[in-house]
Amino acid sequence: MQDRVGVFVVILAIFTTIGLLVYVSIILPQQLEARIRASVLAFSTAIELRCPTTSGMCAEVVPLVREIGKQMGLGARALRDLEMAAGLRDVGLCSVPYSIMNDKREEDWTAEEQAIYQRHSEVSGAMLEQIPALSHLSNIVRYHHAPFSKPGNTRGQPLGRSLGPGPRIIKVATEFVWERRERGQLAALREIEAGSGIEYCPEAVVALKAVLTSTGVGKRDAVSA
Amino acid sequence: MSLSGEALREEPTLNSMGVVKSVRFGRRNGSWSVLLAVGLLSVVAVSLVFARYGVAFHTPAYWFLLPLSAFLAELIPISLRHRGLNVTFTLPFVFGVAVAIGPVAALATDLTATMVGALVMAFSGHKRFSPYWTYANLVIVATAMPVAYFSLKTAEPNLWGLTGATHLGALLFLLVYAVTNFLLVTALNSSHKSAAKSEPRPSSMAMGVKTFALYAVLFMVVAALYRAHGLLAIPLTLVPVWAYRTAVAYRDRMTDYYVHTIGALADMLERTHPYTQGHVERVAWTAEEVGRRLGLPSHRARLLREAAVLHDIGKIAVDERILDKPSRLTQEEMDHVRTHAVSGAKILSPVLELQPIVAWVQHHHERPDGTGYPSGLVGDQIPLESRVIAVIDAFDAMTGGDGPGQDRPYRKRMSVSEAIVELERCSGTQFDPAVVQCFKLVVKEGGLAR
Repeated sequence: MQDRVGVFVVILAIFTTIGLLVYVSIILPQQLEARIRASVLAFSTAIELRCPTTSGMCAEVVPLVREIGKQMGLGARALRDLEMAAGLRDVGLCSVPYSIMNDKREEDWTAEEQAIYQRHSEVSGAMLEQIPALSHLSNIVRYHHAPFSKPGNTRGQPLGRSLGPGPRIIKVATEFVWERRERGQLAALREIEAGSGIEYCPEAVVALKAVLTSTGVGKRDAVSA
Repeated sequence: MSLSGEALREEPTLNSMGVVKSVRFGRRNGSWSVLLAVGLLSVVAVSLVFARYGVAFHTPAYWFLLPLSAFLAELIPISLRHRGLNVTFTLPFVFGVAVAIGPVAALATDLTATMVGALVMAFSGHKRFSPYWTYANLVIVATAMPVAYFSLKTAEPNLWGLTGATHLGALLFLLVYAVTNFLLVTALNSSHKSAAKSEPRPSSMAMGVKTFALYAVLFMVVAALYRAHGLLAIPLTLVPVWAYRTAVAYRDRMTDYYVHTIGALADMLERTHPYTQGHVERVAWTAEEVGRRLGLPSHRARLLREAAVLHDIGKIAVDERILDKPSRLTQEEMDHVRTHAVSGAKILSPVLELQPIVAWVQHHHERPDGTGYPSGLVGDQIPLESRVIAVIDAFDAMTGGDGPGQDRPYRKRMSVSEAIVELERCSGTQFDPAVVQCFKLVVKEGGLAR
C-alpha cells in the first residue's frame, strides 16, 4: 500500500513537473509577449488619437518593417524588437503641442515648430528608457529619424551602420508609408531611392524594393500611383 | 507618478511562502539587540528539539545532499519589487525533510541552508548578511518552540504512509512554519509603502496559499523519493523548483511590465498636459481608500486606484489650448473635451489586465440622473468605480486644481468645506449619495491624499 502511494506521488510529481515546464517555457513567454504587444498597441492608439493624421500608420508600418527586417536577414528576436520599436517610435509625439500636429501641414511649420517636432524621437527614447521591459528599444526609437549619412551632421548622433539596423529600417519604412499616403507608391519609392545612401540606408532601400515586389506588403495602393 | 519608479529601499527577503529573511538594520532601532536575543532564543530552541529527538540521521549523505539542495534553492531568490519581497525556494526541501526524517533534520537543513546562503551572500558583497540572519532565526525559533513543546506529547503515527520515520511533530512543524511565514509576510507587506492604510488582507495570502499547494506536492515527492530511492534521488526535485522559480519570475515580470505600462501611460498624459500630474495622484489614492470603505475587495480597490490614475488618459487626444483655456468653453469645445472619456477607453482596451477598468474610465462622467456622458447611463447602470472617480474627480477639480484652466474667472477655487457642500447639493443628481457620504467620512478622518 505504501509503495503504491509512493508511486502515485512520484507519477503525480512527474506530470506536475512536465506541466510546469511547459507552462514556463511555452505558455508564460507567450503571455508576456502578448502583454507587451497589447501595451504597444495602447501607446500607438493614444498617439493616433492625438494626431489623427498618423491614424493607421502603425498598422501599415509594423508589417512592412518586419518584412524589410526579414529581407535583411534579421533573426526572430531582432524582428520582434523591430516590430515593437516601430509601434512605439512616436510615443514622444505626446510632448508636441496639439496645434503643431493638427492645425498645420508639415511644410507650413516654422523653424521653431520643426525643432519642437524633431525632439519627439528623443522624448520617445527617454520614455522607453523608463520601462525596463522596453528600455533596450530606446535607441532604436531615438534614432528612427536619423539620416544615414549627412554632410554637416553637428548633432553628434550616430550615422551609417553605427545606427544599427533597427533605426535604419524604421526610417525607410515610415517615410515610405508616409510618402505613399501623400503621393502614391511609385512616387514614394522614387523618393526613397533618391535618398539612398544619404538619407536612407542602401541595404534597407534594396530590401524595401524586394519586399514590394515579392510580397503583398505595401501593394495595397499601387494602383493609385 | 506614484506607481512607477518605486524603488525598494527596504528589501526584505522571504523564503518560498514568503518567510522574512531581511529588513534594514541599524543602531537606532536596536536591531543588534534583537539579533542577539533572537540568536540566543534560537540556540535554546534548537537545543531543546535536538535534546528531545537526538541526532539520528539515516545516512551520512544527509549532511551533504539535502542541505546542498536546499542551499542551491536558497541561492536563486527572486526579488518581487512591487511587493517589497524577495522569495527563495528552500521550503520543499525543508518540508520534505520534515516529513521524511523529522523536524530536527528539517530545522538543521533550514538552518544550514540559511547560514551558508547568508555567508555566501555576505562574501559576495551582498549587504544583507546580518538582517538575513535575524529574521531567519526568528522564523526558526517561532517554528521550533511549539514543535519542541508539542512533540513531547504526541504519538508517532505514519504520515500518509509515505515513510516510517515521520510523526505528528512533522505536520506541526509544517503548520507552524507556514503560519509564522504568512504572518511575517502579511505584516511586512502591509508596511510596504505601496499598501493602502486600510488594506484588510494583503494579496500575499493568495500567493502564499498557491505556493503552499504546489510545495505540498513537492515535499511529498521529496519524501517519496527518499523512501523509494534514498537521498540520492532528492536533488531531482530541483527541476520542478527551478521551473516554479521561473514561473514566479515570469509572473513578476508581467506585474512589473503592467505597472510600468500604467506609469508610462500616465507619463504620456503628464507630458501632454503637465497640470494633470498632481490631480491624478490625489484622485488615485483617495479613490482606493473610498473604494475599500465601500466594501470593494482588495484587488478591486487596487484596480480602482489604477483606474483613477488613468481616468483622464483620453485627454491625450484633447487640445491643451482648450483644457487650459481660462474663459468659459464653447459648446464645440465642450464636445471636444468630452471625447476624452471614450478615447481613454479606446487607449486602454488592448491591455488585458486593464480590461476591467475600461468601462470605469469610459463612464466616469456619467451622472445618476442620466445627464452625464458619453452614454447617459442612469443610477446603478453606472459602475460603482466610475461613481467613485466622479466624486473625487469633481472634488479635486473644485479644490485642488493647479492648472491655468482650473481657476477660471467664472469658477474660483473652493475650500474643502465649500466643495463638500457642493457635492452634497449635487448628491443624487450628479453624484451617487452613498459615495458622497463615504467620501465625506474619508475627508473627515483626514484620509485625503494631498
